[in-house]
Amino acid sequence: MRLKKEVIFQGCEFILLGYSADLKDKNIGIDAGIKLSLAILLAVASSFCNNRLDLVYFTLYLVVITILLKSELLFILKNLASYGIIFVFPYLCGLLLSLALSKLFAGAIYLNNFNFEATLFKMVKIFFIWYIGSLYFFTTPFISIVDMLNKIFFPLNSLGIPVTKHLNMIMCIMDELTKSVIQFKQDILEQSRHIFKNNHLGVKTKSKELSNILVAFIANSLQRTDEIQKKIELNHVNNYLYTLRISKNEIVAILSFMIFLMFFFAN
Amino acid sequence: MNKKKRDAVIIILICNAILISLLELIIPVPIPIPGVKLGLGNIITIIAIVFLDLKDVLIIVFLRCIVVAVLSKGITVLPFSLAGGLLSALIMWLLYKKMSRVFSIKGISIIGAITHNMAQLTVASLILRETVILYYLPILLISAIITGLITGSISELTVREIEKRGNFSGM
Repeated sequence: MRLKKEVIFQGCEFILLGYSADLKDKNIGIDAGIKLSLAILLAVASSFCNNRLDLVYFTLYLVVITILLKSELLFILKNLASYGIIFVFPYLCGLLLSLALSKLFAGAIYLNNFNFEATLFKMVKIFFIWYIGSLYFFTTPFISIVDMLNKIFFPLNSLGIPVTKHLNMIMCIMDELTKSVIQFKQDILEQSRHIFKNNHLGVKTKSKELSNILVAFIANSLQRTDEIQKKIELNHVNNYLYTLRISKNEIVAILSFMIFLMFFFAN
Repeated sequence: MNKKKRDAVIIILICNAILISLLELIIPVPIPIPGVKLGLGNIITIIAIVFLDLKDVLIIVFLRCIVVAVLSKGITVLPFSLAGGLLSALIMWLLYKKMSRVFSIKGISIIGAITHNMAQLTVASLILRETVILYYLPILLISAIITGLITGSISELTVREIEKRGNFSGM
């Protein structure tokens, strides 16, 4: 269990450090805008899966693009886990509870309304959309997504919706997290681990100790307000950094997607 | 407090919320059910409710959900975390500002946790178009009471300590 938790924590670190590497490396495999358009079209196409063969075609295509985009296995597994926790587990629990209720109370109508196959189909389709969204975000540099979003939603700024300001804040948050996650692990996490390992302390004492650590942590972090304020002023999302790029990779991606669609709808 | 300083405080609190939620890796969850989390990041939401205005609270929750979705589970989790986060923050703010004589911070935290879980399950039910998923609600409600109480207790102590130290004075 402890090992599992360590792996999760290292995963968080990995994502944050990966993000910082992301900032330095601006080589994008496929243009973020074209990739987003293809991802949206693919998500829409998934709603046209009407039979099992469609699902097989779709799964195969997703496997191929996962391999081509060199997606991390850890992210795929995390995706499966979070999908299971949010949809599958509550659904199965709900199903079991309704079954139990129908056994306990005579005349319960719950089970008669179930269409297992239709629900299963729906779940697989939702998973496809879930997976496509995650694949996009895990294989596209965050900075290029931010630039693209800024370009697309830039007109909203004039309508009073501060898109650029909030994107700028998100960039600052990512930057701060990248810098502070290792320090946090060394200081706060170790102190808290020490408290929660101590079996002589009661729950109340542990809560009090933890709140003391948190107060000190929050107080220390608030002392950096001026530093962050300066950083916000310097760290501007460049409105014109993103430009649509069509090279060999983009053409191959569009063509392969069109071939897939032809096979998919011809079926 | 000027706008830029306010933005800086918001950024710090969002970072704190994300980092504090990493503590969940070492604190045992009293109910080992998939999907049940302590929600320690909620401590920062409660601190923001006590010391900042509603707009700032909602911005903190909104940006935190986006950053967490991007960093960890994927953007498709966003509708769930936004529905749960924003609704629970709004309810907790209303209770704290309008009914603080009736509800303590612990009580507000419990109601926030219940609202959060209910909103997430409702979104899942709407997406699946299946009401059977709502049968899971009693389990989530019981867990929300327990986790909300734990988070609320830590929040109460933290808020008192911050008030004593005056960390947010002049903000």
